[in-house]
Amino acid sequence: MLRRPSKRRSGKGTQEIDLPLVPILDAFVTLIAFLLLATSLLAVTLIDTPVPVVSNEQEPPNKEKSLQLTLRIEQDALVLSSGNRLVAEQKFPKVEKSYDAPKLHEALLKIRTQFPSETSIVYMPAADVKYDDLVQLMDATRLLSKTDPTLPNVKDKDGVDRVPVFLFPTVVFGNVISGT
Amino acid sequence: MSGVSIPSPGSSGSSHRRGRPRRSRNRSFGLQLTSMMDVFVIIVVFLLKSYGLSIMQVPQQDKLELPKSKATDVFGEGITLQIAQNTILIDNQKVLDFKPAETGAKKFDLPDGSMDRAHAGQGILPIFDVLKKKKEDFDTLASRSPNPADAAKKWSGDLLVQADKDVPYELIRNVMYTAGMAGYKQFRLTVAKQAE
Repeated sequence: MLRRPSKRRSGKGTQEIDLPLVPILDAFVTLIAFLLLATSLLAVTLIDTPVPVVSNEQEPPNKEKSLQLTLRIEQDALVLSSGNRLVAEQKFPKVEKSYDAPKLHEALLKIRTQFPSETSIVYMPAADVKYDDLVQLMDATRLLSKTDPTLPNVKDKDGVDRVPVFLFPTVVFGNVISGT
Repeated sequence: MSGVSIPSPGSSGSSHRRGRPRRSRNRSFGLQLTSMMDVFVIIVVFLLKSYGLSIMQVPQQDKLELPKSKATDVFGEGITLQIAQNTILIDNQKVLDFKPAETGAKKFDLPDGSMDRAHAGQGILPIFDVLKKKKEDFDTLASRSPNPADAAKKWSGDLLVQADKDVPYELIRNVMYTAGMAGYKQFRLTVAKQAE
């Protein structure tokens, strides 16, 4: 049972106490100045792509035949093909002077649904393609949007079924060494 | 007698005569800091959140505008290579100046003697020299550490590339080729985050 509050404390007069806010304010001003100097308001992200190297190693003989999906980025169109001819060649002409990234994305979705274990694609851009166009195409190639249908589950390294969160996450530039 | 006010004892009644309310001079004046504190707390929280997102430093460079992307990977460490419209920098040190070509199919003109003619004419010598030196510096430090084998494994070979959005692919290809020859394994393309 709770004790009745002491009458001594329930005072005749309630005292107003001012919090000492000035030192806290000083600290906040210093903190804001530091954070404004140290913070970059430009949010940046990264896209990873391996640098191709020449290798003399033989491909393992028991390895599953890969799709060898290749995207040629020409001056006026995109050409999607498979090195092993497992997918029919598709061409996407430019629409209003820009590459047709939505059509490419749709085609890649179909291919990924058909070949769930495939995760890489080789880019073969023409020499004068702008870097900005490449980044936009990489977005269409790598990322899944919220409206895309769910892709079939894929087993990870531990044998656990996972829902893919990327479309073709590994983009390799295939003509770096050949220079064509 | 109605309408006549009688001053209370102790009051002079002079203020009434002058038509102004009486003011005491020694009243202390307190700033209302609570609302200001609220504003400051909001600013600090916003800045702290932005600070957490921008671990990576992106130095501002003239004639370098990053392309926008919806990619989500935010953390990266490594040697920074910047490709602006007229210059190339490695870790903020200028390595090469060039000028955009005015005519012809080629979109840029590198200075004479900067291309490595021995390796398919694609490597850029000043970039190769600097990247190779940085790799060798890392190897030297690793060899002097108490456990050289473990220290050598820490070499990630990552190159953070910040390129202007209008740079032609040919220049990026040449830089990629050069980085591969110098022992770098991974390009991490730095792009500006696009709002969804």
